[in-house]
Amino acid sequence: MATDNNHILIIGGGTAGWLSAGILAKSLNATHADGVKITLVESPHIPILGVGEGTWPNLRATLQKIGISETDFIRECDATFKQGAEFINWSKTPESNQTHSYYHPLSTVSHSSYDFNLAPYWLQQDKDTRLPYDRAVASQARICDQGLAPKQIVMAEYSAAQEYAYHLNANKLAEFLKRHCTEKLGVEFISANVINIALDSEDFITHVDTDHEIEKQIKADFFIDCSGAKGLIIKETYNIGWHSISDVIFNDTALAVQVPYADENQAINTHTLATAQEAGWIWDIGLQNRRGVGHVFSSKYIGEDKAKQQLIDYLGDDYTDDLMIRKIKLNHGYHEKFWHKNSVAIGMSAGFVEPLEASAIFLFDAAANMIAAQFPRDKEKMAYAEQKFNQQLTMRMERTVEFIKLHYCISGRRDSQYWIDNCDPVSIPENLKQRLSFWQSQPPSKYDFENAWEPFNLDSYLYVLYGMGFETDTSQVAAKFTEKSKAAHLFNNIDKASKLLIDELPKQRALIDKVIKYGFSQV
Amino acid sequence: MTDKHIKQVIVVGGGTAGWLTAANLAKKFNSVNADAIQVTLIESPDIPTIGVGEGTWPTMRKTLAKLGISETTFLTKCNASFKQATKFVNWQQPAKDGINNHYYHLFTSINDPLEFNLAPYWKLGMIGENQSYADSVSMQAAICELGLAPKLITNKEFEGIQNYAYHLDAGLFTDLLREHSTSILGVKHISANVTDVNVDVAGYIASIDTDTAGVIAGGFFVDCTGFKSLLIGKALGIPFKSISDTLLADHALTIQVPYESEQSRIASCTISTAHEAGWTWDIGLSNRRGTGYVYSSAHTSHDRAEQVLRDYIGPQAEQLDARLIKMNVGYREKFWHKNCFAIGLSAAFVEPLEASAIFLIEASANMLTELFPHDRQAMLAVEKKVNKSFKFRWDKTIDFIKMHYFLSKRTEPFWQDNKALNTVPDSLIESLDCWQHQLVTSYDFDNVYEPFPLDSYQYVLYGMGFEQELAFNKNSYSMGQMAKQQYDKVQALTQQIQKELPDNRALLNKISQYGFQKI
Repeated sequence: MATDNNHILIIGGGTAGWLSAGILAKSLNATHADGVKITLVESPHIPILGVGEGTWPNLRATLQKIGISETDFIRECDATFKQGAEFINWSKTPESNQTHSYYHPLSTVSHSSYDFNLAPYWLQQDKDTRLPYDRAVASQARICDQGLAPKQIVMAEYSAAQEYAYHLNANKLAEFLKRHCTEKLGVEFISANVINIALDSEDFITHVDTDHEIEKQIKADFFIDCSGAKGLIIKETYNIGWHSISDVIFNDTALAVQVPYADENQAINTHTLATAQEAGWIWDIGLQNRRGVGHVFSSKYIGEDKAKQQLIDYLGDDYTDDLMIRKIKLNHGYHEKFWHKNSVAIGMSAGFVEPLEASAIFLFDAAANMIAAQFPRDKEKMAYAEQKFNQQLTMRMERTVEFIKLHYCISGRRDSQYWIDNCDPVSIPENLKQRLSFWQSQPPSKYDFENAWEPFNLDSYLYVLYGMGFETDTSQVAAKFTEKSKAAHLFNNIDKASKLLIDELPKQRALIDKVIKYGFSQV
Repeated sequence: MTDKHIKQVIVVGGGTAGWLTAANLAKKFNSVNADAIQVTLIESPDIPTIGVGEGTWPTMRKTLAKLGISETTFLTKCNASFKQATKFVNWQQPAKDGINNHYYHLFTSINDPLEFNLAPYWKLGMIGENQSYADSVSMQAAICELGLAPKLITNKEFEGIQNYAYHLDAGLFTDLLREHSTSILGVKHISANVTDVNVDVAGYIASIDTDTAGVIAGGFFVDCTGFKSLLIGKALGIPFKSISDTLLADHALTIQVPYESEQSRIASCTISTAHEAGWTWDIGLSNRRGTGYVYSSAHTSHDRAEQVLRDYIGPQAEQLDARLIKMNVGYREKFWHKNCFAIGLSAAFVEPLEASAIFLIEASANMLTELFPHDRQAMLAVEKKVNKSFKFRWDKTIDFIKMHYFLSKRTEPFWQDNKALNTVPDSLIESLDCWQHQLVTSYDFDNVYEPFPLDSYQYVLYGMGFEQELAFNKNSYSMGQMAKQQYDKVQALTQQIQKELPDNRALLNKISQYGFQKI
């Protein structure tokens, strides 16, 4: 078969651009003459919007697949291990200086809720004496409490005692990936500004014009828009409609600050902290050398000065006047389609959802992998791939938005209009509303998650619902849950396993230091 | 109803569907406890179950274990045997000069193709040149060819060296489930004929009138009345959607064939052989074979069909009676309506080419037990979910079965008509179109309840000789080394495992004598 889809041009670097370049170059064998050639054009001027970022465990598989050593990655990207997120003060209005919290850990429940769901048995326990849900069904919350790493130095790269992802410096990740892509994976790199995108009579892109001295015109068969919020192709060229979700997720501004550690031995959190505020929430991410902290809020409900003050209050003694607070406008929503003609948007160009569940890099990764697996080498097959891709990515965006909204809309906080409005049913997407109504009388089950690509699975929903104190009235369905002794046995095992793990796992800082010094054993 | 909580579930109809559902429900509810939700099954003393030899999927092992039925008991009481695959004979093309062609759809592969897929390396000739796809990725076809069992007598119950399912006598299986459900799980059994179904003003089923057991009321009803579909079809009026324009076979003729001797081999796979106007099944139970010819009466006469089946069986067939079954392929527009869920033939029927019937009964029973609604209010949401899920599962089952016909190179009128595009679902055409230049990937399986996994598609596609052009992208399959290692491992294991596994009949004999180790 003659192929006519042989060259991909990625417009824009950054995490989305370079991650896509790496995945596509590896999967489509860019180094080979018969493979697909990958070129990335990046502006020398545009700074990358790099805050400290959280990821999902799938990044491990991706890094491994594209041939990156985990040791190198950790050393070069200031990366640390992330085992989940702790949600502080989300479920109810905090009373003076008394905080409450729950975890959404990354490990699926050890017995896997798909085979045997412990939630109904936990729900039937005595409310006053039972362990919190996150601690009852898994070990990871307790491991995070202790600041322990998810593995030991003797374990192979990417393998885990507890499921984990990373906190990383996104700027450094982009630089690191750029080196790997250009040196190892055969990605061609052009540093230039794209000044024009040329279309043929059927609106397919033929080439782009740049301000580069030699590469004035770059031709390709397929184009990936990683140009960030600007959306050079998806927005400026094709003017694809924008689906705003500001009626669901109210936050529109972030204030971000980098906070150095007091000293080299300060403990590094092994999970993300997300602390609810009067009109938003604060992220707190521990990298190797500093924390990344930011306040995401809605300017409709709170002034910028007050938001800034709340951020400063949060930091307490760690705040000094020389720290620079950077303001970022957030535009919540996504495009009505992502793949159009011979182009696809990945990253901020595709859409934006606040980082409450660290879904951004996950979604880039997922999109690039899907394109790699389905990339049509024959332009005739493009329409089918386009339809499938758009359908799936739209589903993933919708479900991500719903899951984020879940954190707000079942909250018992009533200390500001922001929280009251967040619980207003008109702001809740229909699918989520239906699920919540169903789960009032039945605990969630695997039958609620039919789509294999659903970004947040049953375990994630259980952690958040029951961490937030969602009420499922099991008195009605108690008759169905008769395997009480099996459940008791599992609860007991989890408790024992937690104690064992706590004895065995090193502190996060200690492991990071060792990785920097000695490295993991290579796979 | 004064108390809105459902206290009584009435399963109407025995048979595999009825008893399997009743057992699952009673187990889940813990119905032996008088305070628990109770399960009652009404079974006609007059209607014989349509008991042909039937094949299951490996899921049956989990189901039996869950219900607390020992594998030894099951195997001995149901004349059951092990099934490791379906062998498709002459499906690609008719036998040439008396020489058959075949391929296997296996239950075991060396690895999960979602993790590492050997298919492109095989397709590109980098491994297994001159060898079938199945033999390149699994030793199970060789095991089936030799008539070996999937496990040893020393393996625990339900544990296998190879993945396996069962062949069973559906009538005996029903007897076992009845016995187990009533004596252990607390299912109440009423032997009576249904004379009427009473529907209340809101359109819910209120009760069932019987000839000898009076009126039986309940909160929820499961329709397992078979083709008659007394509840969902007749009482609630949910229409039946025929798919006879896609799956053309409309009759089955069956003959039970005794083994020639007590030493005759018992095949450890289902043998499905294509013929001029359909295909025959051949299922080896421990005491006899069950055979049948599934055919289209528009393409052959019943007499001719009987001749084809008798020819297939050989001289042995002379003394044996054939039974004709009319098949009505299709499904209800809804499986669940109000307080009634149809499971089994009352819900749908497709030809048994991929043994999906019992599997879908299990799946229905599992979903019902997991989502069982406590009152009418909660029912609506569950109804929606179940209908959506099973519509999808049946559609995909139909696609998969149709694929076997569509890819065949046979030229008889029946086979040609099967390839006419207006008989093929769009979804299948779309997928096949895509797979001409692309591997089957996880992205083709969006739904976690997809009945047939990627592995199954690959066995059938490559087995049928589907043309998939990957050469243009040859160099993106850069894990050749690893593929070769996996392939070599399969070849080595194929040799080794033949020495370890016992003959299928020998193992079945041993089990009836000594039994497996209990779990």
